[in-house]
Amino acid sequence: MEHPMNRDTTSNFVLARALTAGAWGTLCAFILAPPVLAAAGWDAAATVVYFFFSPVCHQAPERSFELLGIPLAVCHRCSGIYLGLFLGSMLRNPWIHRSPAARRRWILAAAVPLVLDALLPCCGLWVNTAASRFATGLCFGIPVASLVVRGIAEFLTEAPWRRFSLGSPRLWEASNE
Amino acid sequence: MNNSNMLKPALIGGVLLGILSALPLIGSFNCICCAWVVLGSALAARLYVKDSSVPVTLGRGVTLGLLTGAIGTVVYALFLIPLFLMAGGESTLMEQMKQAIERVPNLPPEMREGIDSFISGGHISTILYVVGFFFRLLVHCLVAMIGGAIGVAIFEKRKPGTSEPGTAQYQPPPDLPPPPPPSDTV
Repeated sequence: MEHPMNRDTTSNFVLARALTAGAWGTLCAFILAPPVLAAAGWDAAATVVYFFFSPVCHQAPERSFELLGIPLAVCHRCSGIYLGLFLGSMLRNPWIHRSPAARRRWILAAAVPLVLDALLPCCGLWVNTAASRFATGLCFGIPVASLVVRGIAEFLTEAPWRRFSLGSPRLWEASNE
Repeated sequence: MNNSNMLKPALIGGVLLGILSALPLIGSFNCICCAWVVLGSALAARLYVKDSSVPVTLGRGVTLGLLTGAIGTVVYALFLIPLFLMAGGESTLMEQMKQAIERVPNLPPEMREGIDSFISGGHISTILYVVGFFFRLLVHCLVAMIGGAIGVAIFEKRKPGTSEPGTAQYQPPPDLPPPPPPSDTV
């Protein structure tokens, strides 16, 4: 019996990559939007975009990049994470998925610098900068995006909704009982 | 895909995510890379991996994260209602909106006053609540998918295609008679 992952695997990976790149690319565009909108005089729209990102980021102006002299919608770290997710969804990283152990090592290697960069300043052991916050966010986002792309591709391949679609044998048997 | 087994870990992770995100001071941890969302979905992944007899794939982790994020957002919205009533109508949504206004530089004073009076109106908090709910649903689901994938990557140590000890492949009984020889007739 053919393994389900072999069926349409390539097309599912392409679709998963396109979906994730589209989603994260759209969010990256929204992050850049407030300065552009405010400079164009669309202040209410800029306010709305800031409001929408407020639940997921502290948006401190001194910890955010600026465009046209106006802070972006999220901070340095979040900017790096979102950009890393966008770039990572377009890159092929087969070495991450060689084995569960390799995958775990890569994800921990990506997460530990981010966590240390965020927590060590609280203990006075490290002073983070815009560059360190952005770089650790970027290095976290790239391998994580690879996980999400693979996960979505496997989800599309497993296709749980097909068991309940009209015309499926399972539904036909149920209706004839 | 055994979706029924996903429901319990998703409920646990989602309820934890929703309640912690809604609490006044504790919920602000979500500003640190959506910490509660990632932790809630990673917890759901941990529980699912622990209970699963077969190796959990990233696809299931992503699905579980999606489910956890949706449940968490609903729990957050329901939990926010009594907090909003206890606060006498002034909600964190209104405060977030006012802070968002402060972030836009060079905002004309008349526009600032106009937006201030608009958001202080009777029904605007309801509109903000509904619109904010849908945006939060989208963001929570996206981030929870990441948390689910990370959870599976960290907690799933079995290789694909293996099964748990005690769930061995079927072996026919040793005393089964041999099959009859093939017949020459069609």
